[in-house]
Parts: sequence; C-alpha cells; structure tokens
Amino acid sequence: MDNRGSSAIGGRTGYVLVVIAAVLVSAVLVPVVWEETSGPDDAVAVVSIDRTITSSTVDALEEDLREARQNETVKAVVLKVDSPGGSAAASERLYLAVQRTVEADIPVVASVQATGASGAYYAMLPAERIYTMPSSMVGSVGVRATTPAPPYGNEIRTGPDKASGTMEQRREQVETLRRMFVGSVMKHRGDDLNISREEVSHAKVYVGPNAVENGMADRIGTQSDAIEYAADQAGLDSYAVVEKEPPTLGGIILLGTDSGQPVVVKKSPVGYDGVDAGTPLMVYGEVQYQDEVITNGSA
Amino acid sequence: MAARDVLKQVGLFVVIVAVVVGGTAVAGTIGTSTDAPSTPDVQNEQFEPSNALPPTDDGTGSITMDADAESKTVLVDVGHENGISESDIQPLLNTLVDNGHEIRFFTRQDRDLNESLRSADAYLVANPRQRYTGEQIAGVAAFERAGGRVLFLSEPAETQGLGGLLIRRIEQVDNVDSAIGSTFGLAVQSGYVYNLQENQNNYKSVYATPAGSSDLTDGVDRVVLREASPLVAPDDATTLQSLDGTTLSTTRNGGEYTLAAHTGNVTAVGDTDFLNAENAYVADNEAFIGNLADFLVSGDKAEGAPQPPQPEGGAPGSGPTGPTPQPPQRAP
Repeated sequence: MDNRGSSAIGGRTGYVLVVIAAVLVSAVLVPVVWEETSGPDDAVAVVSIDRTITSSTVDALEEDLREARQNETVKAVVLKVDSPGGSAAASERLYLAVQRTVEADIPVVASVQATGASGAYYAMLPAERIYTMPSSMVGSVGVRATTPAPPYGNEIRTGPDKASGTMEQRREQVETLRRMFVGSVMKHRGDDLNISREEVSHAKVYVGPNAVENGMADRIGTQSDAIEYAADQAGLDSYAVVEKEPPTLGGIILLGTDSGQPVVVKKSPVGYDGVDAGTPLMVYGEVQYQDEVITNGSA
Repeated sequence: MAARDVLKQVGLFVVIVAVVVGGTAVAGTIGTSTDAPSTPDVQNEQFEPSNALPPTDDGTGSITMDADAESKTVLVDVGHENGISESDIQPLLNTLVDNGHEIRFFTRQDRDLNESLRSADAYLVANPRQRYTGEQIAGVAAFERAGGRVLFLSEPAETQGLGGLLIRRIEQVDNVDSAIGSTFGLAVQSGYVYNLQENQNNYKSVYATPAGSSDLTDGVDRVVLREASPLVAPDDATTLQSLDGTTLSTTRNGGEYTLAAHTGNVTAVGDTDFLNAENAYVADNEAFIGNLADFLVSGDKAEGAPQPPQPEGGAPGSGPTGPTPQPPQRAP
C-alpha cells in the first residue's frame, strides 16, 4: 500500500517536477539563445579599411558590405579608414561596393584615422559624410605606375607590345585612370569642393582642417561622431555597433639571410609573383616595388 | 519509481527544453533573413569611354630639312659625362646623315675639345655633367664667334635612389654644367615645368608654342616636351614658350616659361626627350627637329676656329680664339 501510494505520488509529482525543471532550465537558456540568434534590432556596422587595398583585402570588404546590405538589422555603415590606398583595380572595386551600399539606401559615413589617401579616398567617395581627425592625411587623388622596362633580348614574343608596350601607351593608361579617379571625385564631391579640378589632380594630401576647408572632407570628428551621424541618418534612437573583422594582411614580408648578412625582401602586396605587370597604383607614399628592395642590411 | 518512469520523465524534460529553446532560436532568426536582394545598380558616367579616354596622338610625320647646304660636320659631345646616349637623339642624327652631313663624336678619349671643334661646323651638347675647363669654354665661345653653330640641350636634374630598403640615399644629379651656357647668356633653371590643365597625357608633358616667327619655329604649332627645364635667356631670345598656366616645380609659380631660346649662333632647348624616336613625331616635334637640323648646318664658320693657343712669346693673349671676333649674328 505504502509502496503503491509512494509510487503514484512519485509518478505524478515527478512529472510535475520535471516540467517545472524544464521550464526553469529553458528560462535560463532562452535569453542566451535569443541573444545569439536575434542580435539587436538595429545596428551600425563598422567596416575597417585599415591597410593597403589589394584584391584579397577587397574580397573580405566586399563581403562585409554585401552582408550589411542583406542583413535587415544593419541600418547604417561606418567606414573606418586608415589606409594609403592600394592597387587601382582593387580601389575601384571597393569604391563600387561602397557605392552599391549607398544605392541600397543604407547611410554610409566615413571616419578617417591617420590616413585616408589615394585609393582609400577613392573608396570612401560615395560616403554621405567624411569625418577626419585633426591630424589625418586626406586626398592624394592620383595614379602611378612603373615605366615599361626596356625590351629583354633573351625572349621571343608574339608582338611588340606583348610584355609591356610603349611609354606613350603606359602614359595613356595612367591618364585614363586619372581621369576616372578625378571624375569620381567631382561626381561625389564636386558641390562641396572649394578647389578646382586641376588642384584635385595635383594629388596633394591635406591634413584634416585643410581637407575640411577645401571640401575634400566634411567634418573634424572621431569614429564615435561618425557612428552617431550614421545612426541619425538611419533614424535610429537605439542601436548596436557591430565591428566587422578587418581583412587579413595582404602583403608578404620575408626575412632571411644571404651569405651570413641580413637580407630583407619585402614583396609588393599589389603585384604578381615574378611578374612586373606595371600594375597601376593608387597609393600615397613611397612604394617599394618587388625588384627594388633587396638589400644588404649593412649597405 | 520504475526505471521506465524515470526514462519518460527525462524524455519529457528534453522535449520541453528542446521545444522552448528551439522555438526561441527559430523565432530569433526571423527578421535576420539573409535572402540576397538584387545588387543595386550604380551609374558612373565618369567611366564611359567618352569621358575617360584621353585624346591620342597618331605620332606620324617625317623629319625633313630645308637647308640646301653643302656637307657640314656636326660634332656631338659625349665626352663630358653627358646624360644622353646616341640613340636618344637618333632621329636628329639620322636626318643630318640622310641629308649628306657628317656626324662626329667627341669622347672622353678625345682629349682636346678645341681641336675637335676646329674641324667641325656645328657643336651639339646635351646634359654635360662634367665641368668644362676654362680652355674648353673659351674654345666653344670662339667657335661660336667664328660662325659655328651650337645646339645646347638640357633637362632637369635626375633624382637617383641609392641603397635599398634599410639604408637609402637620394642624390640629385645635375645635368648641366652652367658655365658653358652662361658663356652665351643662357642658363637653365632648376626643376621642371608642368601643366595640369592642358598637357599631352601627363602633367610633365607640356606643350611649347612659338614665341614669334622664326626659322626655328617654321611649321611648328606646338611641340611636346616630356620633362623640360625652363631657360633663362635674353628677352628677345625666346623661341618656344610654355602655355600660360604652366608651373615650375621648384617654385610652384605659374606663368609662361622659355623652353627654347636662340641667341647669336646658339640655340638652347630645355629638354632632350623630344628628340628620341618615341617622341620625335608627336605633335609638331618632327617639324621642330627638322628646323634644328637646318640650324646646325646653316652656319658659315671660319676655317680653323677655334685657333690653338699661341706659343709663349707669340701673339698676345693665349687660349683659343676665333679668327675675327665679330658681333653675334642672328641665325639662321
């Protein structure tokens, strides 16, 4: 009798206790799962352009921007820029990706850290507003490329321009890229600029206050200011800030020894292995080309 | 409690937790759909060929000479560490040879420039990096006074990077010994000129237009100079000048700069690149080169100039002299 009663109570009570325990455990887990699966309702995504712009870094950045366009919770994008630019083609790709994001009705705001020059400046042109730090370097609207190498005798080619073409051809190619770069600057910032097309072509970099004064940038401000403005443009009162992981290093630096002496070989992150294709660059600053930087440490 | 009951209760627990937590997860993903919307179109008129492509120059034409002169000898100086090679001025040299004139080179092995000048009718010197001796300067001056033609070419100092990644030294290599130019009242300014408004596909490729009418600018509307140094020359000596709005790299001052000048029997041009095969047929460069060839062979140099130095106790004065000092002639 006792056994039966005990068993019956244990059975019903047991089930009740199990249900209560399950609900309690669920109550603990639900907020965690909800947080993981839903995230905040609205977010401002921060996409970092923080190194030389190469094809591989743009792969990652394009993916970040595509994600921002596709994720309905991302309402605005801030470009955190600290780059001297990169290859012309990669810079143009990034420009187009930013432009598509703007066209998708997502406010894009740029925040320049130390440098937002050349190809990096190109990339942020479609931004609604460009913030710079007081000491940021902004501008350098121009293109550069190596001159064609003299014909190499020990080779058979199928045509005279197979390897590199003529100086005049290279000049025309670079000029074409310059026209498109300057054309893009005038398209996006023509109404704000207080300097002429020719002055833009001068490829000068400007420190923050100069850049704001001449219209190459809009405001002196920090990344927080940029985030706040982006959120405001998206009509957000409360929002989360989602920092996208910056792309991995694009260049390769090798350290080695040669005959006991230290040798440094730094490979251009925008060229091709073993081939100097005269890749046009949109870069501010001195460039170490592949064939230029093999040196003895004591030289 | 039977083992069966325990199993049922554990099962119930798992089902309830799975339903609640799983449902939450599903609900959480609603609203973060990653369905790909179509990629927004972008319009970029600045990439259209009509806006992006620069005008091209077909680079055709031929270099011709008008001068109907008898065969003359042109001495080309490559003995002063000149920053130029024979191939750099090949179109001019070929034109002279095609028209029956002789080219000779003064090399480092030819110790006496004045002796070489004596048998020449014209003297061409480009980018002399080694200084002239006083005797050589006097010799070239005497050569010019005697009617010999002098073509003086220069271009901006070159910047050369020495060393490598860790230790790097930048050196400026001056291309011009200023003493030789100053003998004729000519000097080369430091830096290069550029024009961002109107150029031949690069800011350094400036247009030079005639400053007036002369034999040197006959048939020339505009010449393209790839990297030119402005010249300092007497006011009336300017032959070619840059377009208004051209800027000097060192001072960043805009204006019209003298890029070719002519005084006496001397012509100076602040560029050498226009003479190479790739640039010789751009714009009206071929006409200008033909005129320079005519200039070189149109002189009437007195024989034997510059004279060798007089032996001690000989005629007064020493060093090379021309036979009869005469005022500079306007030529051609």
